[in-house]
Amino acid sequence: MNRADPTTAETNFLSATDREFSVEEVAEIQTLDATMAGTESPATPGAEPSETATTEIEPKPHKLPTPFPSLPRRPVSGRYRSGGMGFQLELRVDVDGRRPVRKVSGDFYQLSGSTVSYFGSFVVDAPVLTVLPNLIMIKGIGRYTRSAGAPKIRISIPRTFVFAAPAPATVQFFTLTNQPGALHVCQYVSAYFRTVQYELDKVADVTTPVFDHYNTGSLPSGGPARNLSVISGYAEAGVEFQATGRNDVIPNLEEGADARWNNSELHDSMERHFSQWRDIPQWAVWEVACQEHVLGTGLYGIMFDQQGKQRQGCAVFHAGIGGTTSDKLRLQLYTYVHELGHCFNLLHSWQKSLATPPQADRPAALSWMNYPWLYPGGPSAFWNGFAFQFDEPEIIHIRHAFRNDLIMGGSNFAVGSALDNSHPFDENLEDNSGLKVELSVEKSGKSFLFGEPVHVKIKLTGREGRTVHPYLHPNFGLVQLGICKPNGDVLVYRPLMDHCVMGQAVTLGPENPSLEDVIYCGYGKDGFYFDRTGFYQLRAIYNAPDGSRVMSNILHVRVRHPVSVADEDVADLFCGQDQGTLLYLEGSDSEFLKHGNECFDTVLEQHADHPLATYVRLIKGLNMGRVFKNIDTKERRIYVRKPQPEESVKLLSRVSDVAESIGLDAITVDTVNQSIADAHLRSGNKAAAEATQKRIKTHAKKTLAGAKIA
Amino acid sequence: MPVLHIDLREGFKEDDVILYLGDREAVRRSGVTTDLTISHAASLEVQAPAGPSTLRIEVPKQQVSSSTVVDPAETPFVAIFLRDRQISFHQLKEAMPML
Repeated sequence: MNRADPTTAETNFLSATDREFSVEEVAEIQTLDATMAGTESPATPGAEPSETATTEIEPKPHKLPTPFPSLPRRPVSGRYRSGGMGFQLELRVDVDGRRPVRKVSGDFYQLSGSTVSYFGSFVVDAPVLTVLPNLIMIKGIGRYTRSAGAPKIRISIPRTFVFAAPAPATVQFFTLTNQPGALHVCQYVSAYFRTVQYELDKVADVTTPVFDHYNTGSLPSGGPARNLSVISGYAEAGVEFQATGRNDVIPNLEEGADARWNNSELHDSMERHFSQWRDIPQWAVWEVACQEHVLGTGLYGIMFDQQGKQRQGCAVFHAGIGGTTSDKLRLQLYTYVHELGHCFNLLHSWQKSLATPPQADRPAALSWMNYPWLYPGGPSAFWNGFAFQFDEPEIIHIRHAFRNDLIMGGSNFAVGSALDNSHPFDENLEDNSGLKVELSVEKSGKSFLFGEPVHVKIKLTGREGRTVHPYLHPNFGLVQLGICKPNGDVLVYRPLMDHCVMGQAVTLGPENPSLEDVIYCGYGKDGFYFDRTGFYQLRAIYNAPDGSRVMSNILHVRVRHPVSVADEDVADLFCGQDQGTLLYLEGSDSEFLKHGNECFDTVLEQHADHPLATYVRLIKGLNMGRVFKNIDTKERRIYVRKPQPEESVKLLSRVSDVAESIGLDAITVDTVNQSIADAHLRSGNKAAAEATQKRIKTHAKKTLAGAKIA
Repeated sequence: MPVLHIDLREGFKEDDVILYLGDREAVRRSGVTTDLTISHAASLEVQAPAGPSTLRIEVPKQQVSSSTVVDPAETPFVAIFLRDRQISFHQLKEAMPML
């Protein structure tokens, strides 16, 4: 019984849930839409098909029935996937079948060696459909999460009979000048656009049955009568919910002494009981049936997961919705589906303008995401017209949103930006490289003073026999270091100088169990990277010789506010292009960095006991221990400043004395001690050199002997 | 004295909210922010005079205020929404659910 207004957009003809649409019908509707809009279909790229096209579908004259009925064709809508190396494409075609929204979308995955990572997404908002007797062709221009050199798309799908296997989709990309780009042949995977692992647990004290299904014809509604469960409700939206088979009963004690749940307790319970739980983006969601939340019986459900990787779990509360009457079962179905809708990053119907980017509010939507109590005309009007479905923009989002705006653990709630949302530092989907990269700092509390040089240790380990390269520092271009600033901006650390290397292979094993290096990442081509107080995240990508892109852990560090006047003064003296360059170069005599050296001299004169003075002694001491050559172009001479071993020892010894107290990493301490030893040797003090050598813990080598630097 | 249950729902973001019943300030809250997942910011209970009285809300940072007549004996629950700088009051016999 459909009592909704047939003239409103809410009752788009294609919104009917009780029938499937053939591709001919959809193409005819597309033609009618274009006619009513007074526009022609957009120009299509690429070569014309060899078969006779029937893009203009006109009403056919009545024919006498043929002796044999025409065999039905299989719908072409669904999910397809290409194979092979390089880039794989997961394609979603949505042009026929149940509630088609006339979109095409896809996700790219990059296969590098033994790792698979998400690369980006696209959507074709207005595809042009060409229906041939044996072929469907879809053309359009995509909207991408990354810049695309060939943004035009042509998709060809042979039409097969329902009793035959589905045909693959051939996807050809073109430049704007119609030059062919990449070609992907995508095998049919599923009639569903998404597949999500779904787990429903309950708490032991829930007094009413957990929801199973509701017959929508039990009470007046706006759609066809049918038995609906959470799983079939989402199936109608084009999402396959695969039950994990785990249904934990959670002990009462996890909800705390007050017998009611708060959001922290729910999140903790999710981590304990969700069999699929991982703090990464993944197509998996947890729902738990509880009795009551701390906000009282008026809270029917909540998507509580708004920390870390968000939207992975939700809860429903039977104190408000439990029961076995038809209205209660209806309320349960609505609540269970509604909360999962938030996990898909859907906002309430009247607050779509609060999304990023904002959309139009739809307070009169007959949707799972609206409130019956806020619907115009009140709950009765809502329930009488509600067909137990999402509205069309929500269907488009669920089926075709960019992956990270939809996937659980992807973008934060309400962030569904259509802007470039590439995440090169996202976790790999698969990593069979046999390698592990770790970032760490030895600072207490992983925190740095404002202005303090940030040094990070990087360590590579792996399976015995694995071949790797030893160039762990970003200087060599084979490791990228991403820095997420407190405001969420992600930058890739770009060292001041690129170093080219000949290439060297190392085999991991008992002689080389691991490789380590230390990275000064405070200053580079983009200036100072830790230029504000707050919390930062760092992650490295190691590009292995076989092409694998190995992700490190995420290292969390904090830059603290200056506490004293001295802290402020020293931070000011450390901030400057000259100073950043001197820290990167580990000191220099260059006259072009004179101002920086003068600032550092002021630190030693006026703040000799300040912790950051140690870093000044470090770089000056290392510099004094080296030769420094100046080229005078006027006199055409090279002036060589010889090492100053006594001055070097004097400075570096003070560094060595306080290294542990300021949290200097072990590799830098070894470097300091090696320089002191070398300086003693130059001074002729062999005994002191040997004594210093003994303090060096060479358990890891910074660079391997023989590595050539061009 | 009857109790009036007030739910601040949509549209609040680190706001100061002052509620008046009749001619007196009934309650004041700061840092009121809507949780978008349940469209709820705060739940307040205030003692109300018997019979109808005027409920007034002020949200200084957003420079909005509005008032309505409430009768706790009839509708003891009031849900307040703030959208596009317009305040709407929903007076109910039962609390408006949140989900």
